[in-house]
Amino acid sequence: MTHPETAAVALSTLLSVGMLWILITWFYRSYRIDKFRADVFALRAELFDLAVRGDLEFDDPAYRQLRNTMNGFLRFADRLSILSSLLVVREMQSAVRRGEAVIVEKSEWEVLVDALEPGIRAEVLALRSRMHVAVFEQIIFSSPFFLMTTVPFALGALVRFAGQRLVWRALHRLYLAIERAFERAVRPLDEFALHLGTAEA
Amino acid sequence: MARNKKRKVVTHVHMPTPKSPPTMLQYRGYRATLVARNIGTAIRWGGAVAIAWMAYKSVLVLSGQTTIVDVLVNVWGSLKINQALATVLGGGGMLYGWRERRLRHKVNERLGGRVGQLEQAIDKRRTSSRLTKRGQTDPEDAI
Repeated sequence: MTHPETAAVALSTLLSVGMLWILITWFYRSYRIDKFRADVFALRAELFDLAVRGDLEFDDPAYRQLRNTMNGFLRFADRLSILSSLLVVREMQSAVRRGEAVIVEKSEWEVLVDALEPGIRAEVLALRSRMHVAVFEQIIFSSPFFLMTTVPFALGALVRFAGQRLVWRALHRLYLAIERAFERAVRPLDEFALHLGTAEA
Repeated sequence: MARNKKRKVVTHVHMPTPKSPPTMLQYRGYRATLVARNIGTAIRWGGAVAIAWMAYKSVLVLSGQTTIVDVLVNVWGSLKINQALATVLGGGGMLYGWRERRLRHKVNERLGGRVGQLEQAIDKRRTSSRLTKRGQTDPEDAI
């Protein structure tokens, strides 16, 4: 292969890699943020419709808190990633150790929701769960590098250790473990989003 | 004798009410998101720098031995029909997605304000996400 041919191959390869870089770091990232915001806007509209129907008061503290939490997630959707989530959760846990935050047995949200009628409570909790699903999807899928590096490795390790016949059982256990871990981690994220959504500036 | 000790279950971390002034905890949380964002930016642009460096090294080895015209002629001449189609499809798809996204932002700008006004008429204390009219991050929040 002559020098110009080698250079042609190298430059065309680099051009392809450059386009792939633009696609992953710019287009895909923008798409994920817009999708997350669209999902949460839809949930916020459903919450608003719940209040318009008269089932829930606009001045109800549960309505206000859930709406402000959604506003917080919408406002800082571009910063919601696996790394920022881990750092925020770590800061919240450090705050407990430093004495800046207090551990309570029942959260303010749980107290507010308990005051609602059972039917409305179920609808409001369902909206909040769907918001958490959107948050979880955004955290996982916002980083293509995480998807490309960690997920295949994790699946490969799972097949190797669990064996083919036990893969589905292992996946189910893994799903339950992730669900429990996310339930523990999402509360500090909700608190942070609520404060962002309520902050004046 | 069995011990029936009631374990205190940690269910929630309570923060000061939102109406109080910003706390050190809020500041630390905000700073955590900034750190994460800067690390992400460094990784993304580190990739761009790596690509530029590889391009530089590829060109450097040819200095004094061939011209850019020879290289471009080779690129154009060695392009196969399937590669050309793939390039056109990929680039065209990206362009289409970018234009669609701009169109959606224009629609958001046109309709979003109207929805907000109608909701405000129903709920006087309606709160906002503080995004721009196009549904993007406020430039003040992007700092």
